[in-house]
Amino acid sequence: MEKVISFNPSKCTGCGLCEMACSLGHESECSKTLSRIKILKLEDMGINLPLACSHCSDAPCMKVCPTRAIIRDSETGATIVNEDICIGCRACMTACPFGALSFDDINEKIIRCDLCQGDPDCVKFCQTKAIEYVDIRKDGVSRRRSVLANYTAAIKAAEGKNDTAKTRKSSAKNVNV
Amino acid sequence: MIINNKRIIIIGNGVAGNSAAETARNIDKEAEITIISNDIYPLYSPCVLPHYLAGEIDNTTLFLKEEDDYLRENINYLMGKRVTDIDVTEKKVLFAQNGLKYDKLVMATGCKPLILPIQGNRLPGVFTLKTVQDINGIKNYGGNTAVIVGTGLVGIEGAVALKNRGYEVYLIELLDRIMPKNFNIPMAKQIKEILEDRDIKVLTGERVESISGKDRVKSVITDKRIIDCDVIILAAGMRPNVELAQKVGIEIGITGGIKVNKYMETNISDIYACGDCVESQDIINSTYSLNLLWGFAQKQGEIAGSNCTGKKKEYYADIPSVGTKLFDTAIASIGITADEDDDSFRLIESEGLDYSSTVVLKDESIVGAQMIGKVNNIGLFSSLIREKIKIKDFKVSSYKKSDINPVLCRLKYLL
Repeated sequence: MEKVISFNPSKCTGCGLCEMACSLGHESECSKTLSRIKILKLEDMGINLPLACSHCSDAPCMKVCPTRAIIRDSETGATIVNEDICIGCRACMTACPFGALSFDDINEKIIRCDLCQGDPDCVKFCQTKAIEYVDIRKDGVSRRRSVLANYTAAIKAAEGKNDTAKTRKSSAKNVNV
Repeated sequence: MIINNKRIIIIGNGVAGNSAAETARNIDKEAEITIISNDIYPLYSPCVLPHYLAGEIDNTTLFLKEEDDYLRENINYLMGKRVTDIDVTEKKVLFAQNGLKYDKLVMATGCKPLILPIQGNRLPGVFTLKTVQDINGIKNYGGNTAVIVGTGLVGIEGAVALKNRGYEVYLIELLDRIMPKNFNIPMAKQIKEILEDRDIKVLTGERVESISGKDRVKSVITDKRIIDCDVIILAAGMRPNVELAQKVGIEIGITGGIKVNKYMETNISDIYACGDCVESQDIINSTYSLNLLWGFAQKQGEIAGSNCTGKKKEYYADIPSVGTKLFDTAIASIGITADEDDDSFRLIESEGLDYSSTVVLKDESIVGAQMIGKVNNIGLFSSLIREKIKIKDFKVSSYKKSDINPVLCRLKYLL
């Protein structure tokens, strides 16, 4: 059963404990820049957005790596980097559609989530359960439900405004991307 | 449906050929898969050759496979064999008085460096940067001064590598800026400064006219000066290897690459093509172009390998992106650059203490981005370029809290 880290921005308080736990676990120091997980704070919207590697099944970073240093962990399904082979060219960083990878300028190595061998520290330290480590299928169901709810709400709102076609289209775009 | 016991022959041992072979093997355990190549090495990545030249990596990182890996995957690798002809009606590949029958054939013949048609271009001391042999040649040749002709990614990385080896390095570019395919004038100027800071002499707007020397390179003559040098590296671009394809009547596109459809099929049935020898559709202009990049080859190989076994898969064009590191500074570019003469292009420039970035707009849609310094967010642009999002539709604050898109939210800080 493959598990993924699921982020729920509406529960995140932006406390930054996950970043500290991640950095401490991997690099033995509490540094935000060395953390694999990053919280983006959108102050004007009041949103905190935790983000880390999604471990895509058709991962673009694996494809572009010229030394094939990015491999898939057979146990956790995580995409992990073999630091002995990595040459620090940052091709994976430029290929990542989420911008989820960062770079350690001192050691010249790529920094990416490795799911902590199946027991992620960020999940353990998250006080509000904004970060959860869940079965991939369950995560899919809950996401589909929330997307569906947004979609129906958008349609209802649009019908109220008597401008159905246009809003339906734009709301579909919103939930898809 | 997957038909068993097929004979799949792949011509070329680059990344496209190997990813085709590996994908076919994963889907079809029974098929007889053969790679034929005139190369004498197992799979390696030409992208890391500059690092190999600089001595940063050794053979263990350079080679991605060993001969045992081919055996383990049950792929026959006939190395050092040049395919001379293909009998399309008999479905037979001909090489060195031998013939091998195929059911499906994959052309992954790759590309070769462009040798400038100038006097002295074959003198000892003139090198290209494409194969392990080239690098070993440069390493054994020695010398103190090197001139690099062409400032694409290969030329720039080669210049950095040679500088790290202790050469005095000159870079010559015909156009008005370096990396003309990837960066606009203001960004190219900054890259030039990075190189000049490290004592690499960058000469733009200069044409190389001939190479002089009797039995080895002595100097290079341009339209402005004569530079005495020991080593000349031609990095003026790559051209697809299509001689074999042309010979058997495979259709070649206007860009000079093999024409393929979205299943990577050529105009001759049961012959597929992938990698640097094909032209691919440009997602931005909807025209065809040559994208001779590692990631493209890897993906096209997977598509061709999958279709060979009967499992249909479509190829969706990628967005070309390049990135490298010049000494301590990372640079990256995605999509296309703005044409200075075209009014429909617009640049959004931003600059900070340790970075600068430019976003390229055409008719107010995002078509490209360039970054120096901090490059870790450049991948975010790929989805915007693909969706052809207009900049005026792009208002993050209009998104409701429930449909937050992390990509768009992060981009808010880049625009």
